[in-house]
Amino acid sequence: MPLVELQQVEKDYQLGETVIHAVRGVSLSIERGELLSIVGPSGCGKTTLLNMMGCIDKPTRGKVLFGDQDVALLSDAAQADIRLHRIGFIFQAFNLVPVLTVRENVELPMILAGKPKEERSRIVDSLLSAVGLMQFKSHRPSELSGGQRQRVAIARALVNSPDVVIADEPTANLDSATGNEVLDVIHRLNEEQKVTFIFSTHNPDILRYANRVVRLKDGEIDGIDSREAK
Amino acid sequence: MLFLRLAILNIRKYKRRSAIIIFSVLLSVVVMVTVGGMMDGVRRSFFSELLQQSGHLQIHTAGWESRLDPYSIKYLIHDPDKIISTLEAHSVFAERAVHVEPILHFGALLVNGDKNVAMEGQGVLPDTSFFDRVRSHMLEGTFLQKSAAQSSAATATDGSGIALSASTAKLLNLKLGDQVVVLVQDSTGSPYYLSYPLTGIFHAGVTEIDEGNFFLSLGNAQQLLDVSGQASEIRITLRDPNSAAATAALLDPTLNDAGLSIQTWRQINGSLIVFIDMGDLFTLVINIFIVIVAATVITNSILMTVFERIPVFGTLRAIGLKRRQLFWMIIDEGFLLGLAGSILGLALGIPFVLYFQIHGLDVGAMSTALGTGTIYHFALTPVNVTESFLAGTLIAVVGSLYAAWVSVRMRLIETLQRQGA
Repeated sequence: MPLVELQQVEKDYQLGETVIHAVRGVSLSIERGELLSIVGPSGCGKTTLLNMMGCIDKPTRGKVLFGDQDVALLSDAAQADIRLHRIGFIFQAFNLVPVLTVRENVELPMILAGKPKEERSRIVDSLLSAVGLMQFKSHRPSELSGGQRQRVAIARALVNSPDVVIADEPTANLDSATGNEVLDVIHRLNEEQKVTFIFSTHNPDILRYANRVVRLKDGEIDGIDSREAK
Repeated sequence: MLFLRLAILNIRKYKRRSAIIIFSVLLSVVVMVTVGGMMDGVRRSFFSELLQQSGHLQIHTAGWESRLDPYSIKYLIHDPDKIISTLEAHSVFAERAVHVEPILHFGALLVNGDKNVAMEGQGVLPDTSFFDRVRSHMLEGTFLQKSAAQSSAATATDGSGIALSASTAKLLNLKLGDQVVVLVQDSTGSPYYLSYPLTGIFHAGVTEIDEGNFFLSLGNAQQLLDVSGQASEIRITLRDPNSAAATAALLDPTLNDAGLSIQTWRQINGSLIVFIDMGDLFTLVINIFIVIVAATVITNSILMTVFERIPVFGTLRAIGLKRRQLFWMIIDEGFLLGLAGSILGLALGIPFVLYFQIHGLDVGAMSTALGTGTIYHFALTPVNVTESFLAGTLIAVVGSLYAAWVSVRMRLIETLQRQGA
């Protein structure tokens, strides 16, 4: 069974009297352990598609299945549970809680999941070491560089051992060297820990990391390339 | 614990707005504790002074309430001592009553030379347990001088002199030891007067008493009016004022048979109780007004801080925070601000109330209506402190409700789109 499956998914937005078709009839299956990239120009529907896969938004038509569950039919609380336990998010703008330290930001999803303190400490330390931020654990996000912040976001996304990590243009706000560092971390986690990643980008340089590349154009799939990631 | 820490950190981050909220709560608590302290003081004055003076129960001749002449001889109790003996023989009365005493009220003209003034005379036992406000505020002499031969327990015939207020003595140009002529209409309806030495000058601090009352021994008053052994009323002090109605109901049949009626302190002081109830209503209206104003300020301030943090809330919800948890997180923050404001409010308000509890507030003629002194002493009561504290905290919580409601109603996608990313 696919980890995430999209069946003829469509998403419309109403802008005054105009209906914007952001996503049109997309069908896609994502298997466990994949590193899938969704590419396309700005406004092609990448973020909308990721939001629907991540239980943040619901499709206007069609189905988004998470395992065997149609997420559109789930209650708000059940969707929150899926986001908490089964999905990790990495946002373009990092989306860290500014008043919390690096350690607290990473620990937050585990607290929401009700994990015991000892387990939280162990996993947070391990993840901060994995992303190379152990020495910054007491810093606030404002004291970190963009790349460091995004690595905090990666650690936070992984802290509850999700089935899939959804990353919306994770390198868009980073310079190319830092972006590559972040992608290396993602690639390593996918290779070594078999974490499933779905990320969007419009940067063709980072496509070399993906197993599969889905090209979007005007809300539709324009093509899918499968390849061996480097 | 992290949510608590998050709340504290957010309070610190949005210092200005947090300060506005804390100040609003603080101000509300100070006003509530002060107004409450003032009203508690008024109530305490009423119970300690006025009830002490009027007694908790009063027995009169039936029909006394509808008399046209307040000093009509027609309504005197003919044998108060016998009534008192009957009451004291009643086991429940003996258990509940602390003190019982006959009093004779009468209208009189006090005369000194070409000066005179109409006043109400009070014929009381020289060691009366009532009129404490007068007995404890003697400026010169004693309340009612006892005769040299008397025993420790005063009788109706003790007390040779008259006690007047300083203002009346001044009006009549009298000094201690001077003779005062007291002119009355006796039991036969004829004018009659006797002269008494001024043995006590008081300043009760209550206009109604100072300008309206003078005191004679009960025996002298009975002799003056030619109503030997009679009294206008029998006053009773109970251990518990709240048992007045039940005690009155119990004694009513016995007294009815003797052609008498009994009234509780609530019936006696009806208009004053309405005044106090109105005071309570006034306090309630002020408190409601404060709560509405403070809650509006707090709601706006919390709404502003919450709207600034919508992207953070979006992030929290994206990583698994439920709407319900977000709701309580915002309420927690309001609660903490309310708690801080309430503690600071009490820290400021309690010393304020305590100051006026010790030194009092001079309200001048305003106190005449209540029949208490012109200086109001506030009262700091645990109930007032607790109510003000809880109300202050609750205001902030209520003020947070709308912001919390607005936040949780937003769709997650909308909150994340506020990122601008």
